[in-house]
Amino acid sequence: MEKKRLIYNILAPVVGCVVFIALWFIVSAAIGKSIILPSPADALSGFFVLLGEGQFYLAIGRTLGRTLLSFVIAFALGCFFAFLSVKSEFFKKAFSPVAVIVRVLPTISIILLVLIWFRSATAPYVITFIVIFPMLYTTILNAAENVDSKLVEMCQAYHVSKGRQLFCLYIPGMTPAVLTGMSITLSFSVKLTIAAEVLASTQGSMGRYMSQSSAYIDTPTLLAWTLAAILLGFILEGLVLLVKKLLLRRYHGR
Amino acid sequence: MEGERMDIVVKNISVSFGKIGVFRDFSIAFPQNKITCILGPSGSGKTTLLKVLGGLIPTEGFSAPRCSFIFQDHRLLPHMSALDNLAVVLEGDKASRREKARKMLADMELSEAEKLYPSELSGGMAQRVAIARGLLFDAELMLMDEPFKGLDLALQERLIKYFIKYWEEKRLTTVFVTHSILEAILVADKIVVIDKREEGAKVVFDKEFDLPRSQRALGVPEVDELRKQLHDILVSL
Repeated sequence: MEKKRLIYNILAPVVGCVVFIALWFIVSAAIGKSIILPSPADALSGFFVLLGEGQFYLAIGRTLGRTLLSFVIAFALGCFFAFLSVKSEFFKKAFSPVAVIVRVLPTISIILLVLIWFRSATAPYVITFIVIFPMLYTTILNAAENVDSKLVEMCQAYHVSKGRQLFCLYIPGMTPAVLTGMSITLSFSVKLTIAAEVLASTQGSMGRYMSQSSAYIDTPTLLAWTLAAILLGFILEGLVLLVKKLLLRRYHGR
Repeated sequence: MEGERMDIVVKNISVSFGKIGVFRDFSIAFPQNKITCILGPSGSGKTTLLKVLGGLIPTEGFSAPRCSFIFQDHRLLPHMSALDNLAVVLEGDKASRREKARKMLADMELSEAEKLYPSELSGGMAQRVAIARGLLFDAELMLMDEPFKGLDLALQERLIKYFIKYWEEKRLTTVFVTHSILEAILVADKIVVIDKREEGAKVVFDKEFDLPRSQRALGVPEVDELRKQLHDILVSL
């Protein structure tokens, strides 16, 4: 059993990565031009060069800060609006067209409009917020509505206070779905913030450096920044999943 | 305290869902410190009546007393231990609530379940914890909605005996809805049959049954006679 788990959890992803890198290597060797597709080794050496530069960390810090701030605000407002929707059917119906329109609005339209309305330093925050807010709102609302109505009825019958219902029924019941949604949305936020930074040409950001690498056709550096972005999204997603695991363990006392 | 409790009286209530009137000027009384069993065909309004009594369906002209509720399914909170599932319905600080819950579990031979989560309890054990929660809650009225339905016969019998044993200590005024004639006969001080009518639900049978519970078994003339009487009424509805 342990051996089987090891194969599925560790060996399979490693095999996937190896195959991907091997294909990358073959295609880059076939093209033979580093400027179009550098080899994995070139990209990795470009990444190590970046690791030695102070601006790399500053850029990651700024992009991460923008991502997290937009995410936290979107999450807090998502909770608030989902709460209002659970409390009031009228509010839910009134808000649903807004949520749907924002959700289906092409991301590029949002980016272009926001770039007209906001300064380049502010635009990435606004863009990330507008795109992920309806996603988080819907996730939280669905999770709240899927809480077992029989348990809600039991709590009402026994006069369990609203506060206790929140901590003993709603939060534990909603945690798995909300955290899964959060992990997906958070890594998506990283991508969005970087895209917004590229288009807004935000000073000192990951997006700006990526855009510069592209302009100078410095493909290895562009791939190195891409690798950094992947790692950032991966770490954030992993952290949320870790929190989910710890919380679920706590809720089940194990 | 027991002597101070009053009969629970429902007088002239009307409840409807859309155009369907379940109760119209319906009245019924539940004697204090007794178990009243309600029998009746599906859709006759038994569960609706329990919800009215428990305040889950607000009804004009009836002010719901403080009730404990034992449902068909255990309805324990899945993320809490058995102990905390009892403590959560109590008032006061956490330590004192837990202390009361721990004592109740010990009194009801459930100490072994204290730290277990609902998913770790057997069906019978989970329902015993739900009964403990119902008896622990400080209520004027206890409502039971087919709490032993869907369990195997042996377990059903064990749980009925278990419930009666602990109910006798508290003698909480209880309304017990069931489909099982035998269950009603084993448990009830009073048996009521309600039927669905066009003009709303109607009480078609109402009888006190004062044979001591310890003497109630198949083959005892009073039990067999009442069983036949109830059977005849229920098949005719």
